[in-house]
This record gives sequence, structure tokens and C-alpha cells, in this order.
Amino acid sequence: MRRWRVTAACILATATAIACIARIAYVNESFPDITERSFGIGDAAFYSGEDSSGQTVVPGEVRVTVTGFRAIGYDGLKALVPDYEDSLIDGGPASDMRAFLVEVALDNHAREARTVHVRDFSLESGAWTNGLYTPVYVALNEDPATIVTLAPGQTEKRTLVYLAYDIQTNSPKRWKRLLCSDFSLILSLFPEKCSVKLGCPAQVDFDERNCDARR
Amino acid sequence: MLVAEIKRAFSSWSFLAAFLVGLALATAQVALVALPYGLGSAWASWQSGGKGFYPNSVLNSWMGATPFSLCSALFFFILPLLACIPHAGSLYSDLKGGLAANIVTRCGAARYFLAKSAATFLSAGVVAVFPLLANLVGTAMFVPLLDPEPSAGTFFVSSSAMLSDLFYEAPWSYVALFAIIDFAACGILACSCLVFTYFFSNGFVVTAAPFILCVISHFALGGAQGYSPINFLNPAQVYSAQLSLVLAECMLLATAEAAFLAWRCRRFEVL
Repeated sequence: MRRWRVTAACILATATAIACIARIAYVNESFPDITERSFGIGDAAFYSGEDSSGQTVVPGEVRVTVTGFRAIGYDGLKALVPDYEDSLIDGGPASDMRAFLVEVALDNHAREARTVHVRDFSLESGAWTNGLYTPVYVALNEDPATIVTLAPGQTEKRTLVYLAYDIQTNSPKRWKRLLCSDFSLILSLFPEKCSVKLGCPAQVDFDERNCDARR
Repeated sequence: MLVAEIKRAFSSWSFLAAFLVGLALATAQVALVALPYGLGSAWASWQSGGKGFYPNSVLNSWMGATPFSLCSALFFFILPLLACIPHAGSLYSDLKGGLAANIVTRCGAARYFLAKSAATFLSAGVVAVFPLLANLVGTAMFVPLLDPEPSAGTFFVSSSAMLSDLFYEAPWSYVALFAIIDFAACGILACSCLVFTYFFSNGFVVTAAPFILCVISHFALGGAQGYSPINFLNPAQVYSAQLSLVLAECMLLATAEAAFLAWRCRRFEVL
């Protein structure tokens, strides 16, 4: 009697495991494998998928070339944008911050006008990420629109701004490590992850030489 | 002695009850969260990756990644209690009913305490981790196994969470590590009931004492809330904590429990 019970339990467990595996395989079959395409600074990077308006981006029609990447502190940012005040720093919970400035050139290689949603791009380093910080982006760029319309063959330059705060890490050590780590500008995530590898930013008011020791 | 104690822990009604409560919450979470994510028409654009959305993945849909879903929040809140229900109160009942004296006469106090601690630890760990793993498998049956992406903005582990870099680089190692942390922490919490046996004269209070302390710490720690077991047991990590401090907390508790039980074991008197 006991042997029958054990046998029945084993058969039931095996059948359940096979059913689970088959179902998991079926669910994953319908999703394409996410490929990764990365570019470097100075490369004419392109991306694919849909932008946030639902428009399909044809790979190669719009190209994004990163021409510079630097980090500035709160004082540097205030010097650049005199009206800027940060409630997280001034009496807020954060004690340090960096503004990452990414200089990009946007080219339209299509035969028709194309739009680039720069607010879809994000900056990433390990687990840290942030989206475009619009108030400073608007102040730094002559054309404040985050949806850039490009005529065929037109090139536009923009400075993208991303903010990082020390409260986004759980220790001062990790904050310092983040400032010296390698960053990527993410252009699209699905079905292809397209990014521009930016490396460590040029630090304007932070001793860059310390980075090598902290890595 | 050890085998007998483990057998007793795993075949008890209290183990079955705690196990089924955990499993019921894990199943309900799949039905209420993972199923709509995977098959619901409201999530159609997320499922196809349209409008720049990154499709939902197992790693942002399972119980350990949806801290504000009802079943997940309830599971992690009562986890310190669930872990103590199976066997943590058995020392109290053994001492009260005289069974402890009988067993110690036959095999010695050291073996009895060791077997009791091991059985309590293992049963608590199984009750804590099995529903999580079952929920992970259940979620994978409806939502694809996509790697987590920080830029997607849909994964709960933030850059201020402990082991956050590991989550985005090797997510399955992160899940495995949290399973180990949950197993060990729940085991240690359950073993604290063996200590509370000597401080309280009510079986219910002995079993519920770690849970009550966890709830108090959850609300009283303020900015250090992440160090309450209710929070650090959850892989989603709503409140940030540092791994070294969490491990130190567990080690300190385990050492204190071991020292106290060793002392009580040496002073154990049959009559």
C-alpha cells in the first residue's frame, strides 16, 4: 500500500514537472531573443523598435552620435543654469549630486522627415539609471522640445542631462564607485537593446585621477 | 534523535497549516498578478513591447518583485510568524508536558537541544522558501523569462538596494542568494522561540514573540526600517539596507541564541 502511494506521488510529481517545463518553454517561444547592439563615443549609433509615441523606428534612418560626456557637481550646474535650485540638495535628504551631460548629434538619413524622442533615451550604469531631466535640458538647449523633428539630411545637436544623487546608493562608498564607473546611453530596449558605451565621464569638479584607485 | 525530531517537525499539523497558508498566498499572487500580466488584454502593449515598453518578465512579476501586491505584502509581513508555526513552540510543549525530560534521560540534553534547533531551523526555512519557489515557477508559466533592465523602470530593485548590481548582472544568482538569506533568517527567527520558551509561560506568546518583535522593529526603526526582517526578507527591497549589516544582524542573533541554548542545555535538569 505504502509502495503504491510513493509510486503514485512520484508519477504525479514527474507529470507536474514536465507540464510546467512544457508550459514555460511555450511562453518563452513567443518572445524573440533580445539582441544587444552597442556603439562607442563618436560612432553613428542607430536603434530600432517603437518610440514612446508608438511610431516604428527603422534601424539606420535616425543616427545618434555622442560627441562628449562629462559630469558636473551642484555648483557647476548652478554656474551653467543660474536659476537652478535642487530641493533634494537644498535642505533635502541628498548631500551630493552629479549632472551628467551627454552631447549628441542627431542625423536623419531617411528620405522623409523623422522625429527623435530624446526623452526615451536614458543613462545607465550597473543598477543605477535615470531618465532625461527636462528642466535643465530646456535651459541648456536653444530648442527646448524633447521631440526633435529632423528634415531629410538634417543634423541637430543637443545636450542631454541626467541627474544622480547620493541617496540613490546605499553607502558613500557605492556613491563614489558609481561616479567612477562606466556609463551607457540606452537608446532602445526591445526587441533590440541599443546603447552607446560612454565609459567614465570627464569629471569637472571631481578629481578624476581618484577613479582608478577606487575601481 | 535528529531524524526523529525532523520527522516530527515535518509531519505535524502545524507544519502543514503554515505550509498551506504560504502556498495559498503564492498561488493567489500568480492568479491576481502574474496571470493578468501574462494573458490580460490590459497589458497587451507591455506584452508586445510596444511604445518603447519593456515586456514584463518573471523577475518583475513574481512574489519577490511585487511588494505592493496584496498577497506578496501579506506573505512577507506574516513570514516571521509562518516560519515559527511548524516547530518553534515544540520545546515549550515538550517542557510543559514532560516529554523533554523523558527524551533527555534517554539521549542527553545536548543531542536533544541540537536536534530540536535543527528541526526548528529546517522546518521554518522550508515553510519560508518553498512558496516563493513555487510562485516563481507558477509565474514563469505565464510571463517570459526576460533579463531585468534597470532602464525599463519596471524592476523594483533600485540602485540603493543591497546586491542591486548582482540583480541586473546575474538575476538568478540574486534569487538564489535571497532564497538562502530567507531560509537562514527564518530559521534563526524560529529558533529564537526556543529562547523565548524560558521567558514566557504561554505557548501562543512563545510562538508569536519573534513576529511581534519584527512588527515592532518594522514600525519603530524609522530610517533603518530596511533592517527589520519583514523588509530584508523581501527580494524587492522596498527599504534599502546594506548586506554586511543584515548578515551581521543575523549572525548576532544566531550567536546569542546558540549561547543561550548552550547555557540552558548545561543547566538542564530532568527533575
